[in-house]
Amino acid sequence: MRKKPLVSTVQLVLLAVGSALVFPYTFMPILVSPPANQDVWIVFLMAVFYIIIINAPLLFIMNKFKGISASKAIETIMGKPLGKAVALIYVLFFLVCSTLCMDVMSQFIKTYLKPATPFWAITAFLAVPLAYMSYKGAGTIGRVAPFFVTFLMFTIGFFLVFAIPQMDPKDLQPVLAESTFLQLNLGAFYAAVRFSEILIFFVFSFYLGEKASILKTYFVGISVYAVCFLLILLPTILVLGDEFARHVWSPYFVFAGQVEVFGFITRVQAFFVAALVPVAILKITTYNYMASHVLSNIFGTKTHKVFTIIFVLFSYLVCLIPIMQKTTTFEFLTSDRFFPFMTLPVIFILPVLMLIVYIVRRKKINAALAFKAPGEEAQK
Amino acid sequence: MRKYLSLLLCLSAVILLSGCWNSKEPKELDVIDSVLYDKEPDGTYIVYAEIMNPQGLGGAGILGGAGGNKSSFITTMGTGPSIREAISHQTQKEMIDFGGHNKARFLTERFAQEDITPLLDMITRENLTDEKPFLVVVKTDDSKKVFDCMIGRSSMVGDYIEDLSLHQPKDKATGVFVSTLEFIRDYYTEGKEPVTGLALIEESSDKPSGNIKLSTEGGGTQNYVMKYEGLAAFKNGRLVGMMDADEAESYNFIVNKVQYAFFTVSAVNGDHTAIHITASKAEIKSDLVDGKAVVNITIKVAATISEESGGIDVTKPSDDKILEGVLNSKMEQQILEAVKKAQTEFKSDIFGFGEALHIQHPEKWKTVRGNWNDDYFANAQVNLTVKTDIVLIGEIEKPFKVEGAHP
Repeated sequence: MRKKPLVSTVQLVLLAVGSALVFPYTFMPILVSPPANQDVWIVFLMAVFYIIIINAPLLFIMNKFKGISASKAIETIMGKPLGKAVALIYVLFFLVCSTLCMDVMSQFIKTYLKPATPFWAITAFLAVPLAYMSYKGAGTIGRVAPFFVTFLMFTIGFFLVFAIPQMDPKDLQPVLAESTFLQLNLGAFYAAVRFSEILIFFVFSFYLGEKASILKTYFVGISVYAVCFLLILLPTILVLGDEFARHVWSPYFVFAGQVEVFGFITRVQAFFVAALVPVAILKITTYNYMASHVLSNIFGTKTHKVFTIIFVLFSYLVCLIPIMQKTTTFEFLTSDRFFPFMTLPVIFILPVLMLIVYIVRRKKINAALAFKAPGEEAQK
Repeated sequence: MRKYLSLLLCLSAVILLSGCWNSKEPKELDVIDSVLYDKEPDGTYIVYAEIMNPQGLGGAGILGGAGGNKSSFITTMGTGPSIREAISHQTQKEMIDFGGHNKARFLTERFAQEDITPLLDMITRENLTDEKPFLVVVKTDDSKKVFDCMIGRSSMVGDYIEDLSLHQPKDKATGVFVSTLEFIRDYYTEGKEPVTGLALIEESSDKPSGNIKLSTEGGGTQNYVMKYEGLAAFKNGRLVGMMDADEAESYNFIVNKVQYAFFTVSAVNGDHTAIHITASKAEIKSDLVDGKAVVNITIKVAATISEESGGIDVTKPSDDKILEGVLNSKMEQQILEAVKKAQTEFKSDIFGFGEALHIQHPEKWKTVRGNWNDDYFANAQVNLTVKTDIVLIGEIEKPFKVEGAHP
């Protein structure tokens, strides 16, 4: 029996935060969500509350089933056949997320960094390290997170400090004058629904030590995410202006291009690339690992490694489909018309259903938990 | 064995991931220093690029230098039905274009008068270009003179503009330096129209540095100088007019872009006092009163006495008050004239009065945003108050001519 790897709370927080920051760091979808104006930072503050509300059911389940793997928790609540079906939905979601993120990153690199490099080569460049990390498992992913994500955070602070001279506070005005209550809430809802990293907590909390508090880890994660997000969002608007920022495919990248250090250190976009690419690979890895790990649990296989390779190949091949290389496809898949509605069922609707089932069957489930808890299966 | 394989894999990354298809060797790059955009009446775009010539850098002055007789840059020209195609059709193009060191984008008058939004689109869309270079409208009878005139101690025109942007504002505020990004921001900002810098190519008898080769057409060297002063005003992406040095200075006062400026006033007949403006802060309050835009501008100025030719005793607070009053009047008159020009000739709110209204009275702004420039801004009542505070009087006390100045 192999011991399950341990992931520390710091590693888990950084893993979730890094994963959640990849999209704002890359293309900042919140800018085009309603009300799509200078009040976007208020929208984000509201979104934090929405995130907590949306994540509450899963958070409750996580806390209740602490030390039990995600798939086992789902099976325990929903019963074996239905539980496996629900877990399979999660596997599909993780796989789609992993594939989409690979596609987004490939498009980003192709558009901004390496226009002459073929798409297949860029995607392969992402696929190889992600396959390796995912193959090695949760422990490796957890250990890598502090290195990659702290550097990403450093770049956020670095860009912020050295962009201060270029910031114009007028870009945030007038405040709340041109947004309706409905628009603000709709924008906050869309932004909140994009936060699918609660599922990282759901899957990886299994690897936390016994003394670790899931709730505390989650709230620290949300706080760090919120601060980092605002420190990405505000300087971008203050330097580019909210209107131009909305027109740009990757506003934060363009913003980073304006940063100069004392007039003689320029081209600090290199930091942006050095920070983003590893964290994006980490995000794709995390979702790939979660897909293969949960599927491995569903089928009761000894290891997730076979699924990892299959899923990486699947994602890679999907990214090579010509339509997946079109900007219009990417725009649709990441837009408010599609992405939030893909995540909502798995981060909110299914957890609510599970919660209802849990409340109805809680005596039976609690009894089963009391029986199983001391001997939870080992997992790598 | 596994360790060695891992090590081999890591080392292979050096070869496999070292640039791939996008690798660019510096020696294979055409490093662009500035670009001039022009447009023929038939719609054909003309793009001139100033490309660094490393073999010519070092100058060809009396002390010789690494450059010898070679020019520090070459210019290439391309034409096409679109700007991007004109760039790719450059003559003498033997290397890969590299726009990362581009310092300035010059626009001819006719190009700017047409519509520069295709250029902005290309700049923000293309991988080759970025938003940092300054935008400058060139006023000249022959646009090619841009690369054929004296540019101080610089070796390239783009570098010249960059140097000016760093140092000219510390002497005077008669020019504006607007990066492409700033232009785009203003283009998108409600209630504010963008401006660009203005470069005037004029004949000059200045002594050339010899850093660049001047045109020798017609037998002798034609000395032209690039004078960087004034501004070019835009509206809906089109050039609508230009302002001279004083007007550009006024613009800089209103938009808070003045670092230093000099005013010479005459408080006593026949004498003059040079006043050095060392700090300035403008506050704009816009409102709609009885359906008419009313703009109140207050500019607070801190100043130092630089030169006194006559009877004003700058050590006396009462005399300073006189000077402050005279300067206030002079500045008010100059600034209001510039505003009037923008209102009547351009009908373009380059000062951002509409932006102030948008921020201060968003509800009222909604009712006027559609025809702000042509109607409300053009007919706005602009009230200006300048409050000068002479803080320092320089390194001597009483002026030379004042009685008692000499022991």
